[in-house]
Amino acid sequence: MLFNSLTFLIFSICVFGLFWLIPKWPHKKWLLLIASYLFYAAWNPPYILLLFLSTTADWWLARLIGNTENSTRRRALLFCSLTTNLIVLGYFKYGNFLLENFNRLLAPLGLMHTPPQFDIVLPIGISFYTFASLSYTIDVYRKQIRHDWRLVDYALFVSFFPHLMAGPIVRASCLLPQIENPKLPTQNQVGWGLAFVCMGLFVKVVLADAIFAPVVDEIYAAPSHYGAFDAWAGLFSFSGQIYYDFSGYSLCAIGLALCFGFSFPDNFHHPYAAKGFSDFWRRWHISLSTWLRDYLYIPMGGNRYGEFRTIGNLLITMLIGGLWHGASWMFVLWGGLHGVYLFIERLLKKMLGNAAVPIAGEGRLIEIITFIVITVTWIPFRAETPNEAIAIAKALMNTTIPPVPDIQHMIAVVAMLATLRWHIALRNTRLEDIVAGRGLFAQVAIMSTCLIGLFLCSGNDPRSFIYFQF
Amino acid sequence: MTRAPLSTSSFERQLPGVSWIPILGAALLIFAVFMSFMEIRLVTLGYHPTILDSQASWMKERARASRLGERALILIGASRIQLGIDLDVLREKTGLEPVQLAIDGSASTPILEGLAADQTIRGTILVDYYDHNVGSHDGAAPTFQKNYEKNKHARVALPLGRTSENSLSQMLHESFRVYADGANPLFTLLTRIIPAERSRQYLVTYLDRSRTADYSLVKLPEFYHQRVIRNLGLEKSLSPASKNLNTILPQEINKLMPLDNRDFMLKTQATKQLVEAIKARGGQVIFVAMPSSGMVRDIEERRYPRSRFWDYFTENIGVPAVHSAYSPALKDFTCPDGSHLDVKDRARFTGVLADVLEPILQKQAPNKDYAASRR
Repeated sequence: MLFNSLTFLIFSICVFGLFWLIPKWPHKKWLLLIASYLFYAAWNPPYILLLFLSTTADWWLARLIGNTENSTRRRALLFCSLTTNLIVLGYFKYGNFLLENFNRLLAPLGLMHTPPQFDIVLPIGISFYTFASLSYTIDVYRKQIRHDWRLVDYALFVSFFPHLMAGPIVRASCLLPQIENPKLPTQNQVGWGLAFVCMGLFVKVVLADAIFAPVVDEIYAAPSHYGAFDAWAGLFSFSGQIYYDFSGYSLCAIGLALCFGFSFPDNFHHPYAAKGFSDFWRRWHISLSTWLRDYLYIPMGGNRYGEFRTIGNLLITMLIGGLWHGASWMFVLWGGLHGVYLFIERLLKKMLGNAAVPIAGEGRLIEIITFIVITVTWIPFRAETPNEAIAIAKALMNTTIPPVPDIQHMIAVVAMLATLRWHIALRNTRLEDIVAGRGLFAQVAIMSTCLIGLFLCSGNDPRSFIYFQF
Repeated sequence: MTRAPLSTSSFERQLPGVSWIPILGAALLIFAVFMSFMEIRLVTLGYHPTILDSQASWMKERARASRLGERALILIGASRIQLGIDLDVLREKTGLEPVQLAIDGSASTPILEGLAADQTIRGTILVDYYDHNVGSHDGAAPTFQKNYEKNKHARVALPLGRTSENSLSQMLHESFRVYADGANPLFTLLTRIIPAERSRQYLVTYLDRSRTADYSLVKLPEFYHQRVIRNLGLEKSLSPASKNLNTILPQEINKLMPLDNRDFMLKTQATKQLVEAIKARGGQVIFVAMPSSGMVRDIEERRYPRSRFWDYFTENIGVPAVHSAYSPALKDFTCPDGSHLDVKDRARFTGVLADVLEPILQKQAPNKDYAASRR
């Protein structure tokens, strides 16, 4: 069920209505849990079993970890939780990828392996709920969170429908206490929640799908037909599409949670205003980058064991971050490139001092360079094959083909430049403060523009959110 | 037990106080006024809501084709047969139950393949013949057919999310004029409301998936020229507003060369196998080339000369085929846009076509319902 669908509109109205009608908090939680499983079942009913089994296994293993002080047993149980989760994730997400690469490795040796054809359907959201679940068992192991939560509370934490499909990756320490303690949403929370949902849907449906996506699809379908201007328009458009698609989803998720009185952390913070790549990762998909930092980079040693080890840890973290997005070498390449950028940035900081890559203060040139490099680095993320990526890269430098006189390309470029300007101007301002700082007339104008924009772009088959596939 | 907050932990989102009730109330009011204005404007322009010709409605008709057995008269093809055949007239004239499975802008081969493989299909199939579409898998047909195969045994179509979305979407399209003919409100605003020139709704889709086109409501000859330009593949260099089109377009048509028919011949043989499979279990297949006229017909004749294409097809396909351009009874029908019949000719054309088909149907199925219905 997509947030930008009529079914979801009816679903959320029903759930919200029942939530207010049911008087007792435990019953409200049951309602949200059942609704979340229905929400997931609307896509593929059998996979709710997988969600349930994964939830129960982690809840049970975490209880066992918490109930013992024996460090060997604790470690064994954590290992059990990690392997269970990673095997399930590996089978569904990386099974075909591993087999393909295994065959490629055997081919030069003259061995031909013909495995049975597995038609594996990737359970939507598996990467998100697996990471949320993993964070719980690791936190229990580290004694950073209690282990004695009720199964219904834990199941609701994992499956709560606003974040189930595509995050943000909410930590147990953030959501479980909110689920346990009765707290009804205030009128202000519901108002902000509805406003966030409207704005999130607007940027997804109008900006990502109607303005940017058609240009991206057109250019990536036949890059050799276009010259430099249109190729850059396609590249800029993808920067816009991926940002508005995913930040729109995150904003909807945050807004929906608020309507039920739950607070989710921010997932984006004007990422295209980043001054350098470490700053970018503090602003882009924050819940994933902090997850990777806390559960991968720091446990591997972080920056505590010398420069060489730090660089290795950075690269491994970013490569895994890339692979998390999908079973393709193109995602690994994308993650690897970001790892290299972080390494270079670190090197520059060492050589020239922190002033060379300022995190605070003015630094327009660095902001623009960062944006352009990030935009170009989206090529392997969007291209399905290396050849497609190379064709796009060639088109970026092809000045022999004149620009296509297409108004849609121009609109997309202007919209992306406006986005960049907006990010730079408001790089340290929260969305809440931007909206609250406007007068009543502007606030009404913002909300009515969102509603009218959504209405004007309605009626087509809703496009899935890009991050559903991850 | 320690509970150290982690980096993303945010137990309470700090939200500035805003008076949301008047803001959201006013925004909803503005939205309602805007939407109502569009609907009312469309009422004054003569628009009315139409059925959404979706995959869901196609699948419903496809399942009906299987259920009807020998009584089914199945129509497959693209827009020409969808716009040009009056199902009520066809039902009355043949005594069979017409099922409209044509898909706008799509090839019919994937549908014919599905019908050939389906043992429940024992009725009569009318295939909309286009020279360039023989054996083609272009358009939405492969997806429609694939999804039908996947879901044909389901009592309840899963996933439920998609099923309910289809129903809700259908309901929305059938209730509001802004979605007429499958348009979205933005398209409606830009092409039907804002243009100073009065626009009209010329296409209507009905519950049985048949459609009508009223060309008295469109601007001619621009609409016709647009079709010719599109068929010539000259959209980038010419527009319907270009000058001297009556001179330029015939010149462009004269430049066209006949296409090679080797691939066509192979595809005809492949189509023949599908036809044989249907015939083997008592079904019938008839190919009908719907009318085209003016420069659209000229383009077809230049690219697909009769001797190389139609004649080869009729000699090899092994079932009856009727070409509107070569049938004395049908050749005088003209298409205002060059490619599709107007609503005012639809019933008459269907009647004449049914008369042309009558001896074929009787000859092919002397003991079937059709013959019985004619007695």
